[in-house]
Amino acid sequence: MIAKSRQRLLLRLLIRRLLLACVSLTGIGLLSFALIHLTPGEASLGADSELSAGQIAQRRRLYFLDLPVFYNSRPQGAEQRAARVLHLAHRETPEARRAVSACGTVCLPELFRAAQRDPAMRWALEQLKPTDVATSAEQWADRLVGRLSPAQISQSVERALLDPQRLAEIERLGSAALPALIDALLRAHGPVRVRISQLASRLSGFTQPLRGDAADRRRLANWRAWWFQHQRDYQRFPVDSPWLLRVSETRFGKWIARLIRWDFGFSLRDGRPVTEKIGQALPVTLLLAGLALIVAFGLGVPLGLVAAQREGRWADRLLSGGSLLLYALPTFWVAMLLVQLFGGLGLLDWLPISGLVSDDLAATASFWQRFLDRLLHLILPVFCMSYALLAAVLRYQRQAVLEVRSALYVRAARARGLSERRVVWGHLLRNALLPTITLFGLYLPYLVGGSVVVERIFNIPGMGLLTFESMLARDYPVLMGLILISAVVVVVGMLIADLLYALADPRVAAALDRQAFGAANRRGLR
Amino acid sequence: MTRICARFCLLSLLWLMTAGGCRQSSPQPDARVATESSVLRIGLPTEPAHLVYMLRPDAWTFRLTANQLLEGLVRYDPRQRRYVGVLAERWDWSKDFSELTLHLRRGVRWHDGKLFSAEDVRFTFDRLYDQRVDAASTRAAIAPIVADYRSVDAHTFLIRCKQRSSFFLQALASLMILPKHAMSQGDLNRHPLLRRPLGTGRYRFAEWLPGRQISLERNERYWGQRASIRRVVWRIVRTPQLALQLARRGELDFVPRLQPAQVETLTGDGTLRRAFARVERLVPGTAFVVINTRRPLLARSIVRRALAHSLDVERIVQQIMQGQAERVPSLYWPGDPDFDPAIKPPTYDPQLAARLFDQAGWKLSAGKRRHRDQPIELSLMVPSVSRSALRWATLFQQSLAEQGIALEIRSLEWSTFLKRLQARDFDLAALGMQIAGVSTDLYLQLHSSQASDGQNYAGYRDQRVDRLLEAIRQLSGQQRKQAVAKLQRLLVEEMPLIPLFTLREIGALSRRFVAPTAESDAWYDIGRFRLRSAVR
Repeated sequence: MIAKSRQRLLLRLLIRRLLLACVSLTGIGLLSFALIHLTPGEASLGADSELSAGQIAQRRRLYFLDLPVFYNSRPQGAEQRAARVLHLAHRETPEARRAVSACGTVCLPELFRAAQRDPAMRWALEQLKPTDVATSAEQWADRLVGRLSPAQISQSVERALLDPQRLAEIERLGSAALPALIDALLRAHGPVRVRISQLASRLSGFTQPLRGDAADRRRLANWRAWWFQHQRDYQRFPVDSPWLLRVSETRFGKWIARLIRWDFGFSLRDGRPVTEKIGQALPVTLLLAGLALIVAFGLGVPLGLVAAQREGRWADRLLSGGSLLLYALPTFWVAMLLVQLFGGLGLLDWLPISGLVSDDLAATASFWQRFLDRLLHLILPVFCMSYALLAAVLRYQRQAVLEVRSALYVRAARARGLSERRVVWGHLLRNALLPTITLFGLYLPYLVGGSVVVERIFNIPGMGLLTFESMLARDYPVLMGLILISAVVVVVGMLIADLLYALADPRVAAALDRQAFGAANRRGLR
Repeated sequence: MTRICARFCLLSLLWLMTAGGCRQSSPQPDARVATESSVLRIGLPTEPAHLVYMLRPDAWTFRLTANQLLEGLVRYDPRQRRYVGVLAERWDWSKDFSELTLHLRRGVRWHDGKLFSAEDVRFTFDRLYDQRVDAASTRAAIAPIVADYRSVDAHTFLIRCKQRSSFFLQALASLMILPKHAMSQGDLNRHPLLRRPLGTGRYRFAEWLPGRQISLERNERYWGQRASIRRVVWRIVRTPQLALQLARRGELDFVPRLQPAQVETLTGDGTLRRAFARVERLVPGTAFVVINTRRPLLARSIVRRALAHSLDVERIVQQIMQGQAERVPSLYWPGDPDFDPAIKPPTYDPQLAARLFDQAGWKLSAGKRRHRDQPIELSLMVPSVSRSALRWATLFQQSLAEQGIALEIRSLEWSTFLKRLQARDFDLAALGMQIAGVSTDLYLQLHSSQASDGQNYAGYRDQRVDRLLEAIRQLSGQQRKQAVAKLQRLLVEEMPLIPLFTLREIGALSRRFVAPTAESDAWYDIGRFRLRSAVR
């Protein structure tokens, strides 16, 4: 068992490392976000060559791609939308009609001013005026514009929350009341919440009112997601906006705001949540790469030991030569060759070459049937992913054992008359494992990164393939999710490697601790 | 402690092996079924984002769903060479062709049993016009033509057009109708039914195993003739090599697109030849080289003609495309109803090209052509995704080098390529045009109104061409055919774009199945595939 003082040492090391990890993760997030968004070229949102500039602008807006990356000197909200409607409203076309009614009273202040200047714009006010209002559209608009300040709107909404009878009054305020209304919707409870959601649904384009049943949790989450994407259309940002707004109304700000709620956003390619996409690919790669690592290290370490123990004899020559050969074979070539070989040439088609599960496997298949099917599917890809690593591990291990074997303490152990088994397991291997542990730490990210080549050739929908496809499509949100997860695993991998080091070699723990704590702590420790 | 850890690791691996990554999304009916033969398994080279073409106009989504899962109002029937009704039983144009009244089919049911009505059509149009819906390219095809629309009654839908357009039915054919009752709630861009659509088609959605396959099942209550194949499974196979190997193992019945080298394998390999037949179709559209006519060097038609005569398209078709292409004289593809086979493409004639270059004042001196004492250097922009384009670009480079002209090939990543194309920052660019339908409308590619910020990347302005393009948009029948022929001749003369070829897609279909002889405008009509035994 580990001594108490060493346990304490390890714990302090762990805490220090975790704190450091947080800092590095933030740095990695910032840096990769900058790299991804500042590289030339842009996400191809479908068949772009067919779109006009206006349509591309529309789509960019939908995915926040119209925002600056890190700093927004002039955050623009509802005014921008109103300006677009105003631009359309100069011609009384069906498109303009639809745009005006979809925008609602959000664009009223701008439209009202325009109508005062240019009588031809009055039709737009008529379009917005509720049918049951007796006065002329201009009088109605004049009165309403005075009541559309954010402070006044939130006051009316607060009053209506206390007295649900007055909720209908808010409907008169129209879509300009949405920011306050959604705010209230996310705070309220029970029947009031249901009524607010119905009202908000009438005022906005998002029609998914709550119903007061069990599915409301999901509906509320949808409301939140919808609002996150569309609030710019309904909110007026002050021109001398506070500093926070300049940072939050950016691509990075939007990304972080989502990330805090463990929401990685949505894929630009298919609109699915990033977490769902990664959640589907991660288990596949964990399994594949996990098995590959187990095979490579599980076989590589003992074989390296065997090769070193029999140095110069035929077993060593075979293993060393074989590993060199394996290491030299490129994975994509071997994988393609295997697909050809097992692809129905008649002799060797008992191993599946595509996917990780038979498509015609019945749902009623027993556990062992499914296990066997999965095992057969795994053989070729795991082989392709592990053979080169196995060769590397074998060579590293062999070299390390050779070095340690001639060390004084091993000779001393032998001289003390310890059994060969204790010499090998207790003294030789433990010390010879250090370089292999480094290698293990380096290869842990493989677990989540997967292998593009193997996954593509064997048609396995894992993380490697997801990364490859997202990169081609410039699917920023998915890429950021993937990078962040890889970063977490790299940091955790380093941590595990350090801890394993410390476990294998007490001197390392002390050294690492000294390094991390600095001179002052070192004194205290003693 | 370590032992517990190890055991936990082993257990979780075991769990991963049996469950993780292969989550059964819905209980399948006994999948190793006795009637396995009535399942058609098709190789799908990429996984579609979702299955509603209106929101994600991608060719495979269209092939998978159009008039199979979801249905449009009309479709083009290649056998009758005209548009026929699908959800619209018939339609009338008003006298001045400004109003289209669609009489919708009665008794059509959505896959969930609800009745289809004009409200669904109106809902689809409403969503199309909704700026918040991510459907810009579908909108771009329909919105400029339609002035207004409304449902007259439950089975009549009226569309008022801004002007007469002979391409309107084609645009309408690519719009698949969505169910109002199921999709009106929530954000359409992320609606759950995008990935398991509810339609009226011959096939209904069965399941989607992400990354693996999409299955469709026969709609037993289809309003028209039921499909013959019971189940269609689209297996996602990302590499063409793997697709052919899976076909050889009997795990795929239909590989729609083979690589040039694989066509040889199909005929040379005994197992494959016995089990698979070759099927082929022309892909609507053409590949061409855009010439930036705004560049002073390229502004004269004589230079552009000389460039066209220096490009050996026949060799490209034979050697690089290995027969998987057909040469075209202009941007009209051979399947276009207005295609005129009498018009001949520019011949490969280096001597004629040299003469034309001389006439244009591109004088040859010391092996290099110069214009006003400046050596001539051109660049050709090629999208890096197209490997064949890079190969024929090299061929073009060689032929021009023989003429004493330096051609620099710039292989650019697609988004950068597009950006430079839109900024008109290029000399020559390799581009392709795919048509959703059969008829070619070159208005966007060649009309002068599109020259500054539209798709007229050549920046070509010619009043004669403008007048013809406008006329073609309004004419029909023989008059239109004549106008198209005139336009084609004018284009051969003016050469703002060098036409190359139309792609021929060669596929392998299991001999157990029979495909209909004439294919649909979009793709093979999977709904009309049948088992060979069923034919006998």
